This record gives sequence, structure tokens and C-alpha cells, in this order.
Amino acid sequence: MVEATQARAFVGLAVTALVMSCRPDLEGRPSLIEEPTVLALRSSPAEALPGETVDYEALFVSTDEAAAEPESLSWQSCLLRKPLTTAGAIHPSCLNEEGTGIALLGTGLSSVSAVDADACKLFGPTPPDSVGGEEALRAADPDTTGGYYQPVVLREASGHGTSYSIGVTRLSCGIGAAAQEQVVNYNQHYRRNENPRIDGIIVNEGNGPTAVFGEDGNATAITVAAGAKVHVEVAWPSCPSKGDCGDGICSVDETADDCVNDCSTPTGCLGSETYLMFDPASRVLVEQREQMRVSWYATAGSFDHDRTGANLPKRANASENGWLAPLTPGTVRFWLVLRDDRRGVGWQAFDLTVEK
Amino acid sequence: MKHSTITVTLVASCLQVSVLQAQSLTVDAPAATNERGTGAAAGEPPHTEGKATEGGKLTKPPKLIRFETAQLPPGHVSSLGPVAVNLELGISAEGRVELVQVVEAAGEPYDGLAKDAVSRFLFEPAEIDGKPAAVRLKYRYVFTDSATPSPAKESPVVTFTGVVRDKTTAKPLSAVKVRLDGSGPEAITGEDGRFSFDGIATGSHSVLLMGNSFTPVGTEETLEAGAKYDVVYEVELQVEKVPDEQRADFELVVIASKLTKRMEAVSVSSEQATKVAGTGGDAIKVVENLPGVARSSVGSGALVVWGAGSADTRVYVEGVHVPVLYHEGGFRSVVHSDLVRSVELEPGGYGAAYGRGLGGLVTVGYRPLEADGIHGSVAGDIIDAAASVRGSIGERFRISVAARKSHLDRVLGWVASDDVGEFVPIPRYWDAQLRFGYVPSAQESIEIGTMSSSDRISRSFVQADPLDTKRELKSSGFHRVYLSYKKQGNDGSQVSVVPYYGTNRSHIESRFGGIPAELSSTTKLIGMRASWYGPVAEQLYGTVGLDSEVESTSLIRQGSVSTPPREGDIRVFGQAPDDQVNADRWETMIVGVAPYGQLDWSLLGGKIHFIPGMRFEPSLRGGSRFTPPKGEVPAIGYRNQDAHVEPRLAVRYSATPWLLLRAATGRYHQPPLGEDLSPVFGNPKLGASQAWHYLFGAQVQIGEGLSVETTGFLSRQSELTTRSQLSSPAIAQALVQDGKGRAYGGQIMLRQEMTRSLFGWVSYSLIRSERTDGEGTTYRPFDFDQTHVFTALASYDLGKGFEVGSRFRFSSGAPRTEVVGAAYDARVDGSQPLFGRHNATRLPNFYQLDARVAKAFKFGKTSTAEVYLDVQNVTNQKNPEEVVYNFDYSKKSFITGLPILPVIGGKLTW
Repeated sequence: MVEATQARAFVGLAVTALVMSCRPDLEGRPSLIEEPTVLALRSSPAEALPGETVDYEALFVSTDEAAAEPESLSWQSCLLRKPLTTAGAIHPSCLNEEGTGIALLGTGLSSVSAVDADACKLFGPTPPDSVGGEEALRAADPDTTGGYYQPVVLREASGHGTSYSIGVTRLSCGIGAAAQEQVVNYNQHYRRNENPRIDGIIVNEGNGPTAVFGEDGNATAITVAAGAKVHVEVAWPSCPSKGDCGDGICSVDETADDCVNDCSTPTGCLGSETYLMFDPASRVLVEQREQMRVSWYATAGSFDHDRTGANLPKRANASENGWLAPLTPGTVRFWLVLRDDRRGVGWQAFDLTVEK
Repeated sequence: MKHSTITVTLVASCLQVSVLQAQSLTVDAPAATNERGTGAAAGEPPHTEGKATEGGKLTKPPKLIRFETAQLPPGHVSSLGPVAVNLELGISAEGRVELVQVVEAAGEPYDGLAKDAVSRFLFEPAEIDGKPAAVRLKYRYVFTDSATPSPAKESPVVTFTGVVRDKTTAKPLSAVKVRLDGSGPEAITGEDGRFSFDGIATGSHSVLLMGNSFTPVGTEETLEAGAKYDVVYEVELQVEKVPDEQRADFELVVIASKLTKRMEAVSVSSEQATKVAGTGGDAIKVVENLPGVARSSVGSGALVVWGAGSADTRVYVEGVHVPVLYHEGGFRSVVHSDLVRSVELEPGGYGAAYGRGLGGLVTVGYRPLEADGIHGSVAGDIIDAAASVRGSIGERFRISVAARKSHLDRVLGWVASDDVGEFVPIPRYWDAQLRFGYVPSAQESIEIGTMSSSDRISRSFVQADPLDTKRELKSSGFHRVYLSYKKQGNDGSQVSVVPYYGTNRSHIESRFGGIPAELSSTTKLIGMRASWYGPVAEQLYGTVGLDSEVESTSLIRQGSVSTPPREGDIRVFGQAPDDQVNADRWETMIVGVAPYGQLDWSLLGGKIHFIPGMRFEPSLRGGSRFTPPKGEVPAIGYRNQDAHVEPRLAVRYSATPWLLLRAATGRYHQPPLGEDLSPVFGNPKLGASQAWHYLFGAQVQIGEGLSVETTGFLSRQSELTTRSQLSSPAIAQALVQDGKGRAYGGQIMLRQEMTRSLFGWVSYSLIRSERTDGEGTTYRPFDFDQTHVFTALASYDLGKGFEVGSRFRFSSGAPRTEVVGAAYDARVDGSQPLFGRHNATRLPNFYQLDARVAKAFKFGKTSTAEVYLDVQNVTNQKNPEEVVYNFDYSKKSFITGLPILPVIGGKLTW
């Protein structure tokens, strides 16, 4: 038996060594807020036509209330399509102080600007103009939701240097490379994205749930014990999977012809929406449902996960996370950012008091 | 009278010269138990056995009992020293010479006098199956001083020494007679295999080696004044013992390619190769330790030779093109070592017989199918298990089967948690080879065979954040069926025809968060390699052949244009792929039919070999779709064609018996990959990439078994496929041919052959490989560049079956692009890295020490059991294999490679 155990241990050592290239555990958690930082950028509306006016807003946070509005925040529009060799979200030149292709939109925590009139050529399915009768140029590829985006950059200048945050406005450019019938069908049934909204936050220390932020928008003061494990749940509106004329939501399978009430001025759902997209692999229109992600932030303590959402059924309208309260009493500030995968953004903040 | 044919005379030794490339490294596979004969490496003409051809077995060779001396005319003086005439004799069942043909003339009056003298020879008849029989043999008649009056002026004399060794084991052979000039002076090797002649006249001398354990073999040496000659002869032992009294003891000079003159080629016996620490007993794995080969990172097994991409190096097994040399993970090769006779790595400058690759050439040659008995082996360690069985069916049919299968996944299930597969990639693979041979005559062989290989590697990493969840799956494999026909003519010519059919499949699928990536391809290919080699004039041998291959590939791809990444892409480990996606489904056909020719012109008595070659490479490429899919517009196919002339030239100069100089150059083309011809992800208009190779080198024999070989090289590549640098390239031009490359450097290898108990080598390569990515870009280091690669290894036989070995490796870290900052990507709550200059930094250097201990037990006459412990990274060095960053790229660290890794295994051979 001893020999068998030793043999097993030996083989175990060898196999473990064989298959494990050692990956270091780098320090740092994005969910812990220790210095002024940008947590989210939001375009309202979340999806716009070229030339349409949008509001840009930043969620800029700090442990120090006085630093909550930095001196130098500037909004820039990036007018360069990123090269095929670049894997990131934006052309690298737009993240450079001497970069080209930048248009200043405004300063401060928010800004109002119009989407570039040529955005569908620059970033969308419309091929750019070829020069001098040369070969036709390649249109941009859509993302996994079939969307195209106008990038914007929030530039922050501080004593530590310049930092950049990248946001987007989803473009209503239609679809490219599809059959005419598909284009018509898409234009009739596609619904623009809406920014999601956090409807409620529930904290449970083990003594039963307490709503710290309900649908009425009012916050409730919550106190938890130092070092306590707390479960936090965030919820957003439930969206119908099928059209229900009269529910105030113009769904994919409803049109202005068959449901005037909902679709005369199309209004989307503020949760996980159903949308239409052109699948480039099957080359057909398919209905998809937005997947929601929650980013969790706090000025103290630690979350089980920095972000959640993976294990959600697609129709779920809530996500939960564990949070370990710090041992030091005080007020802890929370920010929860809700994102849908069509790049819509919503957020909410609240405080918890930690006592001994 | 009908004659049987005894093939005791084989191929002229210059055959080796003609197929030997200017820069080649050879690793021979271990001799199987009771193996007889040699067989041929891939691409070489076959050698034959010493047997009669008409159904019988040579039981007694002919014996010369009456020698007749040819008398030169009075006063005739040869200015050339000894003169030889090569003849073919037909000997009757009574021992009379009934046929005399001049095979290699020396001119008159020698040819006529030799024929006249030989026709009066009398032999003791040969016997087949114990009965006297007519046979044919080749005979060299040498006009020595006794027949040729010596020049009036005495020649200077030199000392001529050397060692005779077993080619398979490299062990010295004692009691071997070394005779000069037919009936000239004779020496007998001692226990150390050495022989010595003093006072030998300068000029050309025939050398005949005779021993109890091998067929007499001969060669020629040209000795010059003022030099000391110390040569190494390697002979292959025959297993079937022939009583001494039946052995030819006359002045029969057999010119055989079985004898390798070590001054002409660098080779490592495979028995040695399997003993190298870190190979796990896989002979082909030793290639990674040869100079010019970059160290592959853990788990890749990519073969980067002289700074060329792994896909640029072509791999052939027994003349059949296969897509890979190693299984996924790089732990094993795709061919069982028991079947392998040799693997030859030519980093560049190879001859006209091969093409369609910008990089190196790997040719794996099978060992001959065994004619007697049933042999085999079973082997296993924690990674996999393998077995082979080889034998014959009657006199003419032979068969061999080998297979291997990994079991690491099951071992892991035994020792680790069930979810270990979610965190670490576990390679799963198998391979199998089947060979069925028919030997219609001693000069012909026909073989039908199959090769199969399959790999699968997968990993899932599930996180609470959907964007952090990663799934990866990679599977690949190939199958081949081939027919090999080889024939050797009496004039030394060789014919080889190898048609083959097969399939390749590859499937890569990943999902990084919600971003899918898939690339699947299925290829059907038909190929044929055919060649003729033989004498075309005095001192001139020629090769003509046809190298053809047709590939038809169906492909499916979806994901971003930049996934999977290709050479030149700027990335960091763990970075999310681009979320802009597309999809395509297309088919391609690539046809290549390349005739080629090559000459081997021997000058100055064989001291110089001038080897020009020419390859004509027409190529036809077609596809199912020329533009990306759009609506209901039907796909429009296309055809592109081009043709390239590829001149090749190699020159070898044996300046002295201990110094060999060589140089080579050549032009090479490589067709585009089918996966690059997508109108969505690539460019259907892509043509062939081009490279020129230039190399020069020297090999110096500096002592008993000790040699130094050094080579300098330059490779210039153009029209390489790269990504378009434009933000909005033209439609169907995501890839362009704007890339250029250059690789240059040198390598040196100091090697100690097996002497008594020790062998090993020290090699160092200094290689710089660079690329440009198109207009406006400058040369940058190639992604897999390793400027310095140093390897030192040795193995020592302690006796009584114990062996110890060790290997030390050092290499420069691979280039990486520094992350100089990051922007917050508020779209996904992540970060986008900001990069510095392309490939301007490197991973830290790599150091590793490996060790191996083995003990062999012998059972009976032919069975052996071996147990070994192969420990990699003995010092537990934490070698960085990749850079990794934290979530916002503010901190970096390294993923380290294998910690100390003990692998215990065993092999039973019978």
C-alpha cells in the first residue's frame, strides 16, 4: 500500500509538472476602488443614426468626494477605423496626445454631440468611397450582435499623466452583405438598443433581504457587521420574449401596422432585450437576446467576483454576488454597472455602513 | 545460360555524394533486432541485399581460385598511378567466367587487358540453397605497380590511419582487414578499431575492408603529400553469419554505399539519439537539439529552422508529404521510432528534388522491412504507450505494424481532480503505421503502406464573468496511403516511384467570452514523387524526377479577421480577440507538378563535386469564391497560375582528407495556404512566396571521432503573406504579399562520436531572423527569432547495461512587444493595451538541464528490457515562457515553463 501511494505521488508529481505551466497570480482587483477612476461611459440614446445628437456621460468615481469631478476631462470622437492588424477597440492613434483623427466633442463629465454623418462608411456596413476608380474598399465587420459603433474617447489629464477611456455609440446603419429581402425585413423588425436600467438592489447579510435601492428610486440605509459575508443582488426589468401589444414595448415581432400603441414611437425594454441580427455564418436573420453583465465596485471589502453574469439564463433579470465586509468600520461606497452586449450601459450607486 | 544475380556489388560510393546536400544533418534510427541490410533514406535510391534473385538463397559466395595477371605493353607508363577497371562478370555453375562487361572503363589498353585477364579467371562455384549455381558479380581489376611500371621519380609517402566502426552502434570493430590497392599492404584493426599504414605513396588508393561480420566493402582515398590522414569508416554489419570458409577472400573490391565516410556527412546513430536526455526515447525528437533549430516553447513542438516559420519547413516520410513531424504538445513524433531508419534535417540550400517550402526540409526514411523472424517492442511511460511488430511471410512478403496512443488524460484522471482539464491543455493523440512489402527480386522492392495520426487538445476555463470564460479546442490529423516502387539497375542506376493519397484535417475552435472563432479545413491530396538516378557519363551522375501534388481543401472560418493571430500580429497573452466578426466557407485547389534535374560532376578524382540542379515549378490555384458573399449574388470561382524556375547549385571540395568545404545556393517558392485564400479573411489572389538561400561551410576532422562542422548562411525572402496595414483595404485583400524576410547567421558543432562509451556534442547557433510587414514598415525581429541557441549533451555507457546522459540548453528569449500603457475599455469593463515598438523586447533567456539514467536487461539472444528515468529541468529552473499582465496592464509577470519533470518509462524489445 505504501508503495502504491508513493507511486501515485510520484506519477502525480510528474503529471502535474507536465501539464502545468505556472501562471503567476498578479495582484490587484478591478472591483476595489482606491483612486479616482472611470467606471463607465454611456451614450444616450444607446443607438443612434448618423448625424443624430447623443449625450455622453461618464461614471467617474473616487474614494474622495472632492475628486469626483476632475479638472480636465475631455470628450473626443475618433474618426479613424482601426487597422485589421489591431485587435483592440479603437485605432491606436486616437489614444495618443499627438494622434490624428481626433475631433473634440466637449469637456467635463458629460458632453452632447452629433454622431458623424459618415459614421456608417467609417465604422459601418457601407463601403468607404474608393479613390480614383480603384477597387472597392472593404466595409467594417459587425460585432457578435451584428452592431457597428462610433467610438468616443474620454481623455483625462492629471498630475500622473494622461489616461484614456473608450466608449461607443451603437450605429443604426442597417446590415451589409445581406439579400434585399433580408434588408427590408431587418429594417422593419430591428429595434434600437436601449440603455439598461438597474431596478433594484437587495442586500442579505443572512438575516433576510433588505432592499437598499428599489423601484421607487429611494435608497435605504443599511448597516452590516465588520467582516460579515453579504450577498448582494441586482435586478433589472424583465423583458418579454414575445410581442404583447399594449405592454409599451415594441418587440421584434411587432410593427407599427399591427400594434400602433407600442410601435408608433418604438420603445425598447430596459432589461435583456430581444433583437434581430444578421448571422454572417448562416447568412440568415436570427433573433438574439441580450446577455447582461454586472460590474461590481466598492471602496472597501472584497467581492467574490469582479463581474458576474456568466451563469445567468438569458431571460433572467437579476444577478448576485458575495461581498466580504472590511474589518474596519466605516462607510463603504458601492457602484454597480449593468451592461448589455449591444453596449448599452446603466449604473447605480449606494452606501453601506460597516459597524463593529 | 541464365544467370542469377548476386548483388554483392552495390551502388558506387559517389551515390552518397549526389544525394548529399550541401548542408545536412542525419540521424539514424536504431537498428532493430536482427535487422539486416541498410535500406534507403527517403529520397535515396534503394540498396539491395546480398542474395540471389531466383527464389534461392545464396549459401556460398564464389571463390577465386585462379588469378590471371594482365600484362601491359612493354614501356607503358601510367601517369595516374593505380588504374582500375570495373567489370561485371557472369560465372557459370562450374566456376568459369562466361560473361565480362566493362561497367566503368579506364580506357585502353586497360579495359581490353582487364577483360582478357578476367575471362581466364577460375572460381570455385557459388552455391544457392546448397547447390552450385550461376551468378553475376562485379569486379574491379586494379592495375597496380606490379602491372604498371612505376614512374621514374618516387612519390612522397604519407601516414594513413583510421578507425572502422559499426554504423549502427558506432562501436569500433576489431580484426577487420584493411587492404590497399587490391593486393597491396594490409593492416588489421585492433580492439579500438584502429588501423595504420606508414609510408604509403601519395595518389589514389583503393581501400578494401574485410571482416567476419560484414560483406567486404571498398572505397578510394586520394592521399596528398604533407598531410596526415585519419579517417573513419562506418560499415553496417550483416546479421546472418556466413562461415569464414565461404567468404570471398579474393581481390574482390565491392564498392558499396553501406560504407559511410564520415568526412562527407554528419550523422548521429539513432541508437545514440534515443539515449539523449529529454527525448523520451523518441529518435526523431533529437532533431530539436541540432544546430540551426530554435527551441520550441513548452507545448508547441513547432520546428523553427534557420529563422523560417514552422509551416515553411516541409516534412516527408518515406517520400510522402505529411503536415507535421510532432504531435500536439511536442512530446512525441508522429512516426514510431522502431520504423525509422533515419531522419535528415536540411535547414536550407537543398537540391532540386524538393521544393514548395521556403524553410528547411525534413526527410524521414523507413528502415527496410525485416526478412527473418518476428520482432517487435512494447514501450510506455506516463505520457503514452507504443508497440510495434515486424516480420516476414515467406521469402518475399514482409509486414510491419506500429502504433502509439497517449494516456496522459487517463493518468491525470487517476492522480488529479476531475476538473483539471478545465485549467490545463491535455494532449490526446494516436498514430499508426502499416507497411506491407513485396520483394520480387534482389534489385526491386514494392511496398504499400499507410500512416495515420490524430491529435486533440482542449481546455475550458469557466468564470462568473461571461467575457472571461474561455473555451479552446484544437484537433488535427492526417492519413496517407502510399505505394513505393524502387529498383536498382546493374549500372548503379536507381528508380523510385512513390504515389500517395491522403487527407489532412484541422479544426480550431475557441470562444473567448462571447466572441467565437473557428477555422476548419479538410484537405484531400494526391501526390507522386518519381526519380531516376544513375551514371550519364564518366565522372558524371544525373538525377531526373517529377514531384507533383494536388491539394483540394474545403474550409470554414468564422470570427475576427485577426483570430487566430499570425506571425507579425501584435498581441499579448490573454488579450481578448477582436470582437468584429465575419464568416466564410470556401474551397481551394492547389496543383503543383514540378519536373527537376540534377547533375553530380566529380572532378579531381572526386575531390570536387559540382552539383547543379534545376526545378521547374508551375502552379495552378483555384477557388470557389473570388469575392466575399453578398446577398444572393452567386459565388464566382477563379483560377490563377504561375510558373517559376528554381536553379540550385551545390559545390563540395575535399581540400584534404580532414577538411571538407562546401557551398550552396538555390531559389525556392512556396504556394499560399488554402486558409489564406478566403475572400473574407484573406486574399484569393495570393501567389507564391519566394526565397533565396546562400550557405557555405566547412567540416574538419580533428581527431578520433572528434569533428567540427561550421556553416554560415543567408536566406532572403520576399512576397511573404502579411496582413494589410490599411484600415480599409480593398475587398478580398485582407492579406497581401508585401512582406519581406531575411535570416542570417552561422552555426558550429563540435561532436564526439561514440568512442568506447561516450558520445555527445556541443552546438551553438547565432541566427538573426527579421521581417517587414509591408510599405512603410522596417525590419523587425521575427516572432520566433532566437538569436543564440546553445546545446551541449553527452551520454556515457557505464557498462553492465547502465547508461547515464545529460543535456544542457540555452536559448535567447523570443521577441515580444512591450506594453507601454493601457486605455480603459468602458465598452466591456476591460483594458486595451498600448504597445511600444514592434518586437523590441524579449522574453528572458532560457536555461535547462536534463538528465537520463537507463538500465538494460538482456533476455536470451535478442530480447532486451530497458527501464529509464528521464528528468527534465533537473535544477527546477523557472524559465519564462510568456509575458502575462494584470487586468489593467499596470503589472506584468511571466508564465514559467515546466518545473522539474521526472518521466519514468520502459521498453521491451524482442
